[in-house]
Amino acid sequence: MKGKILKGSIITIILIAFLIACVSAESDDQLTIQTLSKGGLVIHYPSDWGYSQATSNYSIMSISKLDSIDAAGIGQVNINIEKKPIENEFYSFVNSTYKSMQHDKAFTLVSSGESTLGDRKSLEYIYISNDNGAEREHKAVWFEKGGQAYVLLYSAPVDQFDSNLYVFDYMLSDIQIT
Amino acid sequence: MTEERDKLLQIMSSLESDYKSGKISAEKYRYFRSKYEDKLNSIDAMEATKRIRSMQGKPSAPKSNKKKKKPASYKKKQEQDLVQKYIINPKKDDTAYNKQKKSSMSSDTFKFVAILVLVIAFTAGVAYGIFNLDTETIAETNVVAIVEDTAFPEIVAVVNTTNENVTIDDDNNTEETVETTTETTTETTTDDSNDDSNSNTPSDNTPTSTPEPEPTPEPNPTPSPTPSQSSSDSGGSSDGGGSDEG
Repeated sequence: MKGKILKGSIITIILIAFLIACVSAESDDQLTIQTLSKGGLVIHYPSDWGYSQATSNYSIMSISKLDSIDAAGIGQVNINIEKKPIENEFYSFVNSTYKSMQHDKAFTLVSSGESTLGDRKSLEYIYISNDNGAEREHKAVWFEKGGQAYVLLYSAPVDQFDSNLYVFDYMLSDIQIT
Repeated sequence: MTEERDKLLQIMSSLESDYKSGKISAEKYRYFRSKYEDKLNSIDAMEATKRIRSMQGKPSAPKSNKKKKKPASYKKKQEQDLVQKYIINPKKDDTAYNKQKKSSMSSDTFKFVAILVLVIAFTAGVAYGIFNLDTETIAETNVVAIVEDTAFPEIVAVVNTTNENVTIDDDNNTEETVETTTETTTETTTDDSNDDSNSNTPSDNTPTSTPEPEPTPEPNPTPSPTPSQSSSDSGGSSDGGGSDEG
């Protein structure tokens, strides 16, 4: 009697484990939302993006689209979040960046304006950079927090900029600034 | 109990003697004999029950009042069970009794099944946790790529100053034109110190964000024979590397 129960229970356990493995394997194929929290910011992004290491000294965190990573391990479609201390006024600090860009042939300012990020006012700039013929489009959203200028920069090759912009827009709509 | 049994045996022996002597009929004899035998059997069963109880270590008589309160039917049933189990061979005739026994579950089996259910539930929970654990948020340090983009890029300001050296001969005909271009490149990283100087946006390509560089005179690889007139024009530019005279 006990032997039969034992055998039956072992088979049941194996069956349950198998079923759960099948269900979880199926769910792995679907996109899930990942969370990244650093430097007082919490962002959410889809699972086809991954955590990246930025070369900039001002970077807080950055993510890259997984299928955009080239053979050298450099992400082509990226979102980089940076911060830099402000000594003077926030708006002049941000404007100075793009005013000086106007004098560099490698940069073309496309648009600029004001927007809101959560309950904060923010500045939005879109520009194109040209690095040895490789044109990349950037969208930078700036906001001030605690005497620091934070910037969320979405960068992608010009032909991939629009198709992946929704991830950046989703991130902006969902960002938590603590 | 034994007294009753002895009495019954005496009655039965007298009954038998009466029947043999012809005092009672055969029918009456069978009737009374069966009746006394039943009583004798019941007494035997009671004694057997007591013996079994004593063998099991149970008290022959209930001690507490609670047990006394138990219904008589329960007690009778228990006694019947014991009689069926040990006195009457249950394997031969009592199939219903066997079925009843099979359907009931002993406490050990119940414990075993309960533990089994707990083990299955635990295994299922652990497996679900392992397969659905969100490790992505924990493993933040798993860097998948390098990001070279920054919102603080190195700005390169280019200043083009082109000088055309025109040599005119005595007949006022232009003989040779030499263009000299000085390209001054200044790399600036956006900094707070530039805030004030950048507040004015120039309309032309002359940068105001960087200090005006002083042109460095370079030796002219193609010197003009007799430069008598020089003019400055921003129309053309080349990387010819001429000397800057202006």
